[in-house]
Amino acid sequence: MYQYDAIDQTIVDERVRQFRDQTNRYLRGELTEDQYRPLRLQNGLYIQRFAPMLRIAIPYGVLSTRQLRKLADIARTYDRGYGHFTTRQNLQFNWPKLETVPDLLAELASVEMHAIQTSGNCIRNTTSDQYAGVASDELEDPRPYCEIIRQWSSLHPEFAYLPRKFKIAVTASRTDRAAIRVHDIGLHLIENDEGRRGFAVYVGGGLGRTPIIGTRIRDFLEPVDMLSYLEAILRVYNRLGRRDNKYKARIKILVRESGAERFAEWVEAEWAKIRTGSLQLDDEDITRIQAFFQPPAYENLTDSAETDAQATADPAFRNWLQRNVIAHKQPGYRIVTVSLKDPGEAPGDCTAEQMERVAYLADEYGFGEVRTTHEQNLILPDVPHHALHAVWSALAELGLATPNHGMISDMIACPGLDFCSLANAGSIGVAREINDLFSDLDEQYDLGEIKLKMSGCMNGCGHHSVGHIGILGVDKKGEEWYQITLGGSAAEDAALGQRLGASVARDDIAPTIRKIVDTFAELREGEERFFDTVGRLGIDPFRQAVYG
Amino acid sequence: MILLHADGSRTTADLRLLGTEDALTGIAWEAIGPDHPAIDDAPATVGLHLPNDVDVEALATDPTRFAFVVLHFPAFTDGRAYSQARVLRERLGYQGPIVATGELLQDQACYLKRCGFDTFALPDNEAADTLARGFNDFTTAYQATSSAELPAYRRRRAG
Ligand code: SF4
Repeated sequence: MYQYDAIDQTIVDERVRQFRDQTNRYLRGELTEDQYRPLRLQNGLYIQRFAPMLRIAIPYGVLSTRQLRKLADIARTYDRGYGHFTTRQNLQFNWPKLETVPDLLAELASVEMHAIQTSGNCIRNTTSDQYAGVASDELEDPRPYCEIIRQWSSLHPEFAYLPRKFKIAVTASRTDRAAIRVHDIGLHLIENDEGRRGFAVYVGGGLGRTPIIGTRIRDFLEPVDMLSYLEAILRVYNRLGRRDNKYKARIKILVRESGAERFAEWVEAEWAKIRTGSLQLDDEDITRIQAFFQPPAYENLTDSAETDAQATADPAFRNWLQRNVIAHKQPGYRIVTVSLKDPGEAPGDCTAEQMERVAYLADEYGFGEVRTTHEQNLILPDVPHHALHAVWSALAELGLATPNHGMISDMIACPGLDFCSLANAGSIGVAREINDLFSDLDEQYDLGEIKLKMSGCMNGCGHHSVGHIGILGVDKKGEEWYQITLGGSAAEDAALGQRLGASVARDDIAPTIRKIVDTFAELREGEERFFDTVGRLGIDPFRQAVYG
Repeated sequence: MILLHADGSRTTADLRLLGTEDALTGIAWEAIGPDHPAIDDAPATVGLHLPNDVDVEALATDPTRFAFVVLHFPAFTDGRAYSQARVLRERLGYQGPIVATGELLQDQACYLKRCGFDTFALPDNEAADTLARGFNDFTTAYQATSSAELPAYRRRRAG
């Protein structure tokens, strides 16, 4: 993975010093709350319902075991012994004390980590495919491009005070696991007809109260032109994005109001002026970063007959293999999903001990690397096939082997009313009730892939509008109600869910989901996925079943 | 009013932004807007002040012929003037002072400088002290802007 040099380390250290000073000035009363807010947000610090919340950047979801151990340490020292992995591949601590945040950041800096631009109206952490570099279906490792973007976007002087937050995602596989079309910019590495590699560029996607699927504004962009093109998009947005209304300030509104074609013309015109400047990368600039992401020293392995025998003998292990383990580029290795979806826990939560044990497993059965996913799980990217049973046993002991990847109980949920001051409704409790109704794993397997996503308010941190089933918390006269959408997707078949009907009360939400799934089971043809059944029949049969 | 310069020096001056009705008086640090009747034959000592929603490349007048250019931050969270300053410096090659007015916080000092601002209009010496403290928050950066000619990836290759 990428290693800091003196430039990276200096920037991160100086940022800690600057933030310490900002916090001291605030605590001394020299900065008003209004002045301090945007400053702390640019460093990922929110003041939440009960305590500050600090969001830490995990660039494109890659962590070394040293970093993960440090996060465990921090969870114990500065928080209540756990952290929450988010849909942006980041980590949030929900209980740090304001006065101690600068020290916490200094500890992060000691392991080449930071919280720079994890919030605020600036360019956020660039996200990517959680299987980058190991996926069997990828064209090329997208992480070097993410790292180049990370550096370009970090403390960019021109784009620190944009109209609104700005998120970039990069993928290099045909299967889009990075949800690029619901990002402000999505870069899709492809091969063109001449066999050259470059990016298809999407802009103006986004969730929140006006969910929009991004539009392709360029079919092919040479990798050396990546930064100049991004800068052109950002400059157009900084100049023309709306600032009169917070809810219309995202780039998606600018793209929609101006029309994607006109927007693309502005970008191309701006790009023409900066394309050949110092923003133009040389191949050497790219290969230099690519050198950090060379494959580790894989052994020549073949699949182990013993593992296969263990699978035959033990149905629980077999289930886990089927659900949470996928193919690897390298023969004899597998990619393992570490499930943070224990039915009894909030999705994405992870204790310090779990972090440390996962770090241990990644060292013992891998090359010291762990990934975070936008589905709020962790990944062990390089597990030898012969070690799968050992890894499974260890994970099962820790409650991290729920064999539900891609199933209805592998749901995404934001922290909701339990932690977030913006929430209309709870999500964690609802997640638990739904899990109770689907406690039979065999049934879940029969149902196949169902992506359930839940947000506690319109901001959509739980990506509800692109869930196969989406649940959105709404406030009705101070009570918690829930709106349901069906047929959304964040993958290569990106689509927004359609609203099922009137929102349902707190007590009815889990049973309603049950009813929807039962309806699906009746109407489904063969092994059809939930998403495809909704696509084939529309939502009317489901509406009928729920509202009569 | 204090004009703080990027090297830390200060001028006590009366920066005056004239409206379209106001006649030029010939004092130092006097600036007119693009709609001012005298825009086409303003003397060489006069500055130009621009609202932050103006495209500096689309002006009817050539902004680089003015003694100085004033760009405005109505709130420090409104970052449009950063883009204006960079285009003015890096694309149009403007060499004169670019003056920042409006809400300027210490925490923006480095960003302002790196985008090409070299003069900061502040109410008093205390405010100037505060902003100047921010000039040294960062000693290096990834991006090439008017204050750093090479981006980090190029500097690394050289070193
Ligand atoms: S979706 Fe709303 S409730 Fe949930 S974390 Fe985001 S802002 Fe908070």
